[in-house]
Amino acid sequence: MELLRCEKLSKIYGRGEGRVTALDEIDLSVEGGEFTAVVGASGSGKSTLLHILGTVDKPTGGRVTVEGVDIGKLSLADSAVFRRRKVGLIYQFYNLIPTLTVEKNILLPMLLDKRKPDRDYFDSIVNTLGIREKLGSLPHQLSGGQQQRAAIARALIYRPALLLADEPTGSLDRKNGKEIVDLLKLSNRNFKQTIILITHDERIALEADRVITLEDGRIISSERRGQL
Amino acid sequence: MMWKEYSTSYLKHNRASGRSIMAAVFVAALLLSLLHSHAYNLWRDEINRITAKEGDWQGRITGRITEQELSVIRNFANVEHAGVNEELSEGAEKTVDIYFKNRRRIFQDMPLIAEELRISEEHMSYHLELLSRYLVHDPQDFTPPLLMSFYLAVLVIVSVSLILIIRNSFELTMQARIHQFGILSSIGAAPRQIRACLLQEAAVLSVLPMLFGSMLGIAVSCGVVQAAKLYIGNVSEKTETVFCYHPLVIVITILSAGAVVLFSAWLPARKLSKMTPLEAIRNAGGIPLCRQKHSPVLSVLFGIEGELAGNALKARRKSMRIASWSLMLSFLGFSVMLCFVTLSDISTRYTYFERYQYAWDVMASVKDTPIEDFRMTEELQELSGVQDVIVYQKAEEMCLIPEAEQSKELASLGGLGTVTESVSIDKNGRFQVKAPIVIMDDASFLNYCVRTGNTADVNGALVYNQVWDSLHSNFREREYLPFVQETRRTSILYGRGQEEKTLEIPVLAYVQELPVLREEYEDYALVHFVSLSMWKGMKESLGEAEPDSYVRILSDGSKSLTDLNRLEKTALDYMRAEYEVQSENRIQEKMDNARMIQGMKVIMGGFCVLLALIGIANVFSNTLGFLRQRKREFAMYMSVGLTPSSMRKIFCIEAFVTAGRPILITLPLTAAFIQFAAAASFLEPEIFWREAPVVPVLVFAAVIAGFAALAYYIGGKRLLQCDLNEALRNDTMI
Repeated sequence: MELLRCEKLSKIYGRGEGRVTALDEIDLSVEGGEFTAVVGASGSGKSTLLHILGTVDKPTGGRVTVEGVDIGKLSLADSAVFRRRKVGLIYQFYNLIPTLTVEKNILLPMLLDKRKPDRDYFDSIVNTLGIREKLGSLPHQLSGGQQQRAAIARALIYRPALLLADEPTGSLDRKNGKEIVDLLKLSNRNFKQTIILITHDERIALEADRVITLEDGRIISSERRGQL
Repeated sequence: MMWKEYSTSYLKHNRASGRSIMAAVFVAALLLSLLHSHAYNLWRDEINRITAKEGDWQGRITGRITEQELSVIRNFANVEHAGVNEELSEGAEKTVDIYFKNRRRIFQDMPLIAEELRISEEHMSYHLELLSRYLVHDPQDFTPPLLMSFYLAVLVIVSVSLILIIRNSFELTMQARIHQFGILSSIGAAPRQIRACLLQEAAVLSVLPMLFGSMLGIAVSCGVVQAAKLYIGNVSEKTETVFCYHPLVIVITILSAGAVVLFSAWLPARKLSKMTPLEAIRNAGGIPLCRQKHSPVLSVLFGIEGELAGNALKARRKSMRIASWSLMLSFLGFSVMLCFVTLSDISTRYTYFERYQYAWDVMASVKDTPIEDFRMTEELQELSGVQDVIVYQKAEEMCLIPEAEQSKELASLGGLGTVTESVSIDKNGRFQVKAPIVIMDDASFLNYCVRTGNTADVNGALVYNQVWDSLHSNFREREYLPFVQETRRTSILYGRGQEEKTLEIPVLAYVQELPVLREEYEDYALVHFVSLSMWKGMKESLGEAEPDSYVRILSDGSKSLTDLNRLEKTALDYMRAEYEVQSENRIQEKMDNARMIQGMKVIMGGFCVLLALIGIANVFSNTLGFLRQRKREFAMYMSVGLTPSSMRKIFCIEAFVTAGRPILITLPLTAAFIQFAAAASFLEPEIFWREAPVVPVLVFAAVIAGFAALAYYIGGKRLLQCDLNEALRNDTMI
């Protein structure tokens, strides 16, 4: 079943001579439960695509629907609720709130909705990600890999329709990077989680079900695992 | 939830940031409260002084007012209270003091009352000095009410400057947190939730410092008033200086501080709501140092460090705007206030002491004694050390001047109505002009006749025939014209409110010289000097004079305070045997006045020091807060090899520009104010510049520069000690 659809999606920065086309009329469709990797050189528009899908940025043209909802037309408040309930965002630099404990960071999207977390689900996530011992710590007391695990846990806590990961292994060493990708695959498999992962590391991309290649804001290839 | 989970942990882990906001709110609330309380006390003291001197009435009607008419006045909707002033009333001639519920309507309601009672406008009077303190002004008076407006303007400027301290403190903290709010927003926090969180956080941080600051401000203000009282005694002789407070003052203080706190917290939330979460996350708590214009001047003067400092200041121009404004406002408030005090000091000296320096040595007022009942003139004249004694009494009458009898000079200007707007005309077209009567003892009057070159004769009046030409001269350097044609040998007088009962008296001569008395006469009045013998025949027709008589004594050249004190005591002892007398002597009064001015200066100086403190608090909080934001920027400089001494150079240049710019902008503004104020009070600017408070202003500028330097020193020291790796490791996404 189609979860996400982009039609003629564009994003242009600046004006006149400084005008940069980050995304150039992209058409894209992602099925529910699919693990998609987006690759491309620096400046190809990968992060821009991810930010628009996560509603942290707005497109300048075209249409994006997630579960049939046109997310480009959402108000600021509705975008916030959409992000909270439908999207899990994972950044290269973790973006954890430095003054909250790891547990509070993970539960934040639920708390914003004044909802009580499902303790079993929470336990299964933290156990799977291996951060149970660190729940009472502050982010700066954790290693980079642990911080990224906490960020993934936060992204998964609301069982979002879509998990968006922007270079989640970019700040990590190879071992930690590999573990993070394995965890993402695990959540894709165990929780039927739809994942779009941005990376410029081809080895990581090859772990995905599908690899989309961007160049100068356009999709130049989209291949599924069997085709690779 | 946001408050409980996010804010509490943020405040717990960022105690320094919370403390800086609390300190800013506390200091601003304290100074705001102190300022408002001080201003309120100065205003209250002024009201007490005026009330003690002239009473607290607002409007006054004189004439034959019956009980029925009095109740008509009392029944006016806006009249709170009206009563007969027994002290000023004589027989059927009543003086009614009127108090209004809404003072602002007095200039509309008094004419309505006069119309209802069918009396002319000259029977009405307004307590203009008192009303002006409540910012109520005669709509017909087109001269702007400068004094109260000035005080209010200074108060508003300084309040805004204080409020900016709070605003700036929030701005800096919020700026540093936009990144975090971006993260919260990216995981689904709605703008409304962020706004609510910020407002709650602001309220929790500010409530106690605001209350304690305000209370302490009141306590300090009370202490200042008590200290001033101990140091200078009561500012006014008739009123006691006591600390007073109105609940509205603290309400205004807390409301203004509270509104600013909430507004300051709401602004970044609003700013956030206009940003995408991505923009907020990218903001990273800093201001990008890109696409800035170069700073050619600083670059040429100080090299690469100058350019870096200039770029940093330009990049933060917007966030530094509040700091610059608050600093500029407090410096402006301080220097303008000092200049104003100096100007007013000069003005008093010129208008009073220099004018009456040789007019008197000892003055005595003999209570409730008509001049004809005072029988010691000759004895006083015989006292040792006395050169001349004049005994006189005053009466306020009116006179009628036919339009054709104005002087040619006055007529050629367009007539009396051209030089003054307050002219009333009777039904026969004659000007109704105030005619103060000065009744002198016969001997003194005869001397005055001789001195002015006239025949000594007690049976007639000498009329001071001068009117101020307000069209061609200012009040400080007046030029005069003859008031009436001197061919007229009689003057038509009448008592106030008794136009139908006139008295024509002979005029001996018109004079251009006044007798040597310490008296100031009203503008556009025709002053009549008469002898006691003459007055005895007039008073039946005109009514009573003022209750007290006056004795003016000139010494035979004794110029020391001891001599005058001795002379005053001798005269006083002599007169007190029979009369109730109050007296003063010129040197003592000058000293008392100097003491009073000194006292006022202490109070005003205290006010200026308060302004200075506010300015310094601004510099310190702004500069220190500004530096706190720049850890990463300096870490970057250090990572490319900038030495600590180069960094120190950057700090010095920035401190120089931060403190120097507001001072450079403010000095010409202050100079322009002085030029304007000197021109408005018709004082030669050179006179002011000779006494200008240059030293305190320069000291204040130096202190501001010093504190900017200190703030940079403290902030810079912390920055130089920071861990380079720690500072460069940023948790931003990009």
